[in-house]
Amino acid sequence: MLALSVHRRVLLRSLSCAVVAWCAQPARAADDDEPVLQAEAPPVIVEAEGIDATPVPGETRVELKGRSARMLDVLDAVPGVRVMRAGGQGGAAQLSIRGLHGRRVATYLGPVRLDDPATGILDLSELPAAALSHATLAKGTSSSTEGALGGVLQLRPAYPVQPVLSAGVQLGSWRSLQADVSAGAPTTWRKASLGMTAHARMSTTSGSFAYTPVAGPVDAPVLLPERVRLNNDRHRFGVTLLAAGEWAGGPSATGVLDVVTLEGGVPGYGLAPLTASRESQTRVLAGTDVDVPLGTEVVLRGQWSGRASAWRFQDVRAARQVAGALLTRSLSQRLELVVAPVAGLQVSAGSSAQLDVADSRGDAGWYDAWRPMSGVHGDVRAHAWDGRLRTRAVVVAQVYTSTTGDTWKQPRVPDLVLLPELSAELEPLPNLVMHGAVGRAWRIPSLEELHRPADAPLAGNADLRPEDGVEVQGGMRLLMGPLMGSFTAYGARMSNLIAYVNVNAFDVRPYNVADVWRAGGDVNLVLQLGDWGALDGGADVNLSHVTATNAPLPAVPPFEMHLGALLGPPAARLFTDVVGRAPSRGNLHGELPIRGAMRLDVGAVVHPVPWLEVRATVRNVTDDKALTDWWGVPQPGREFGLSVRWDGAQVE
Amino acid sequence: MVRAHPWWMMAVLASCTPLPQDTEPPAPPLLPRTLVAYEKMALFLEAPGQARLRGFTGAAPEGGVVEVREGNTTLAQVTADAAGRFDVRFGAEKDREVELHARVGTEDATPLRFKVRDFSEAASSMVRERLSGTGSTPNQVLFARDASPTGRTTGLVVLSGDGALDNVDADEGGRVSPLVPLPEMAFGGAVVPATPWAADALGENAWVTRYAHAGITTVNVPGGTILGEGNITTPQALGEILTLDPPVDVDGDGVEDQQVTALVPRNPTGIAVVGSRAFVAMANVLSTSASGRAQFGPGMLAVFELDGRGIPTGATRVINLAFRNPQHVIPLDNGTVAVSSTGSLQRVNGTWQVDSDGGVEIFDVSSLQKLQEINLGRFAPSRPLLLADGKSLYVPSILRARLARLDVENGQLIRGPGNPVELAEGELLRTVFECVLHPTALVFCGLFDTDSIVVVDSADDTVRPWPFTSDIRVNTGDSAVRLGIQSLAMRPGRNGVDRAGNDILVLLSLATRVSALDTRFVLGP
Repeated sequence: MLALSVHRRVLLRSLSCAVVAWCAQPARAADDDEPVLQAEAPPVIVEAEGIDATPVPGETRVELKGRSARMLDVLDAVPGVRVMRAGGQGGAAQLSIRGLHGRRVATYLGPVRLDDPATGILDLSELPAAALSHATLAKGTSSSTEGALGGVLQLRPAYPVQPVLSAGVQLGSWRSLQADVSAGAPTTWRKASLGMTAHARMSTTSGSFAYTPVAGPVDAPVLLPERVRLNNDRHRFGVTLLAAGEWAGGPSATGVLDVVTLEGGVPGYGLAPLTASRESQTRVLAGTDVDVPLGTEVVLRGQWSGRASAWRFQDVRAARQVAGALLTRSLSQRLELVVAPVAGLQVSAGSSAQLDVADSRGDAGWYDAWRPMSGVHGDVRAHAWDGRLRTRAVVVAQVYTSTTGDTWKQPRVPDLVLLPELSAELEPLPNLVMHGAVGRAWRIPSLEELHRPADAPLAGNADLRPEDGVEVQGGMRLLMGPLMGSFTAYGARMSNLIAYVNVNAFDVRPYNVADVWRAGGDVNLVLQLGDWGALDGGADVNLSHVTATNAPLPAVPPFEMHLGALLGPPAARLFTDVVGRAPSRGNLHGELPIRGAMRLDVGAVVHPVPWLEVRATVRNVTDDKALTDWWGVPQPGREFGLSVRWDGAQVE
Repeated sequence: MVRAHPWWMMAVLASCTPLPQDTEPPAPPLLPRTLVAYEKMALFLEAPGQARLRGFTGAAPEGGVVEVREGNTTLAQVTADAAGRFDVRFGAEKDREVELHARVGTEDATPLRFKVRDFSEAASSMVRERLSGTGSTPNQVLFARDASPTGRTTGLVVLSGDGALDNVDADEGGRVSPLVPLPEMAFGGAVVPATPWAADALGENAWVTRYAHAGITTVNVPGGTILGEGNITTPQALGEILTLDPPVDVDGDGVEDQQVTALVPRNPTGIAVVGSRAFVAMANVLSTSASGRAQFGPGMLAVFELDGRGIPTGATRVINLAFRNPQHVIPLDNGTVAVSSTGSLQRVNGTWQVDSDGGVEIFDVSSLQKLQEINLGRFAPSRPLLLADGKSLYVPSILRARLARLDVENGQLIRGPGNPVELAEGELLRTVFECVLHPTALVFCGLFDTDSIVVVDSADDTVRPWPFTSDIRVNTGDSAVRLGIQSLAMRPGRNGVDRAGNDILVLLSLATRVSALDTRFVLGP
């Protein structure tokens, strides 16, 4: 029988341990300090069997509890991946894969998509880092997920497979404070097994730091005198519940519920300080995966998720209490039947549906908008040559439409698309894997892009067409003793690029403005030093050409590199990271500069006892206040951080 | 064996290959100083087998005779009118060389060889789409009004987003002197960038308005230093009760005001320096359309007294204007300044309109008395342009591609909202922020929405006079994304005589780029 439910087996193993006692685990600190990235290494999924448990060709597993202790820094060190920050510690952050970001990158927490369907906003800093196990990263176009032109980041929750009792606190520059506490355990009752873990977290930062802005054109940039970034504070509180359950020999399910509330400033730039505002937001997301065995070779899978976000904006300058409010909701479901008729072959087919709703109220008008979408999909995975050749073929047919409260009787003509994807991995030698893929994806315009009111500063455009991308990629990875290396190259074309451009001298709206050619690749090397740590390094190239302007895509550095080292015995280690980025352009016409930069971070992690971890970090050691990131957003100079984490499960 | 590369790789490599550099056309030669102005003439093929020679205002002395010869054969002859204009056609093919002989009375001008050229080729040679990049949110490009017509000339660029005054070499591109950042200022616990809006320049000095600070700054351009600044902090009585709906916190005390009788002038926009005074338009924006409804206080003209170095002394006077949202101040020739106001600009149901009258007001720079007030209704006037006669103004509209013509000497509306000079057909929203006057009396107006420049002969209000029958496309690369003509600046002096090179700078605000026109490629031999 093929094992189609990974979670179930993990849970059972843990439960058998948990009922005896709090299992005496080997010291996990050393595990946590293994190299940040097992680049391109196949995911290791405990006790998983069969095709379903094997990695999708080209996927990368990213361990999120690496030396930097901060999930964002771990992701930032992955070649081809970049975390775009809107400030210092505790500030908002966005994910970029191969130069694409926003709704062009799909980010999931378990079954729930994280980026808001109406606004495209995703703040990685809101995520419950302590509740995450690891991440699965698929760089490049993925037909299986709407909008995944740049890639898919799947954050895997640490479902309750063992007792958890931990707490951490972190202090840092800009009066940043982060604290979290986690508790939970699995239990069994007759045939039922159930586990639940609760995580609570808070963070706060003044967000106020000095920086040196860059002015002038790209060919003659000038560093301006130091300025102070104001109205950049962030105050968050979040709770996450993770649950997993199983009826012995029957269905199994996992679930996640995450609630975040935040309050903070929305800093402006240039002319925008005049309209600087503050925002309050509450976001709730929930999702569940259910597996129901229908026989020895057949499983029915269901996935349901929902999310809701409520924003309230206050105009600081005009002392208005409420300048605008936005409520977005999204519900989605996915059902599929998975069949393994013969050894080495797995076929699944199913359907999906999603409904996104947004209601906006503001001084500049209001709108109610709906965007239903649905699709059917088929997925065939096959293994041959003793599993040394792994292939996958996916085809998705998707349709969507949208409408507003004013025009609900006349919804836009539905758009229909067929999205195929082929991928394969070949292992000609025991330590050599070659992989390749070709696929197509599209990004449906967000509700704000489609229907934002005509009198709003950035009005919508109901005539927008989806962005459409095709991509070819290939690469290899090699393991030679302690040295692991990987290489990937890609070429892609995106048509109907959606960009906000002036429709006249006063109004800016989104339009399908251009096609984009993209090409690049990445390399990565990791050298394991046994118990004494590891060295790793990587670089990526991302070239692009926007046909409408003959300029590269804005805010995409053509070259980025990363070097890292983790050295010392498991009980006390030093680490350092160097991140470098080439200059890039800050606008669609390629005229505004985003400075190239090199940043050096150093730190130490000490485990005086197995259940206690103390970390000290210095980020941006050279105190370069001219670092910029997200569209040239200023970054702070040198930042200090000190964190203490207590893991009660490690106490003997 | 030849291997076929994947199509995508070839395409990507092709897209990464640098585009061939524009081949610079050979620069026309400097023209002789004669009693005729060859740089004000245009000779092009008008139709197959037919050439046309046109002299614009000032091309020849009144009654001057211009003769077109080929060898000893006279192909055409024409006599200039009182304005020095003439127009003659003759049979000729493209690239045929002819000689122009001009005489006034018994005096002969130095003859000059002209070639019969194709206008579209010449016009494309005239445009240099990218002279230089600029910084964030550029709002104005200008030359010092008294800049030397010879030597290296610097165009100033006001960068609202960067909060700086930058500059560009008018011929070579690139920065001539240091960029000048304008410092932030604390307001009610917040630090606010300067947001420079507009500037005026004389000699080495430039005066920049700081939209977000309610003040001006004096800058030494060659040194890249700030000499001083002036701010207005005293409330000005409005002379009326201003009712605000919805209420706005006008005085910054955290309480929303429903009625206002005085306010501290704010949002300086246009500026003109005349003698020892800087005249600054204060837009007094109290709320914007983004917050539901744009509300403006009465427009005001602030007068800053300047010392011998051009630095504000601290003494100011404020004059209430008749119209709302003043945006521009320009000096006139007779010791006066003209202030233009758009009226209250609103966005209603997705369309822009003004819901109060706009117009132009003329003030005496010494007595500060208002001399003229010309109401342009809902015309939404932008930056006025003083024409060659020294008493007429063209006033473009920011909502339609059209010009009004005013006689400021007599306070008369020559061509107003009822019969404007139409630059484009239709009622689409088309914005003309600025026009510049060429020594030929031709006026070059930038259309923000089409990335093109329309030429108007101010001598008779002819739109697109021959050979400028097609608009001049600044977007030579055919970018599908609008470049946005925001501002134009005319370089002092006669191009091709006093100097050679670019004579019109074009600020493309969306592309954050400065383009240039060298009219020698069209006007002259």
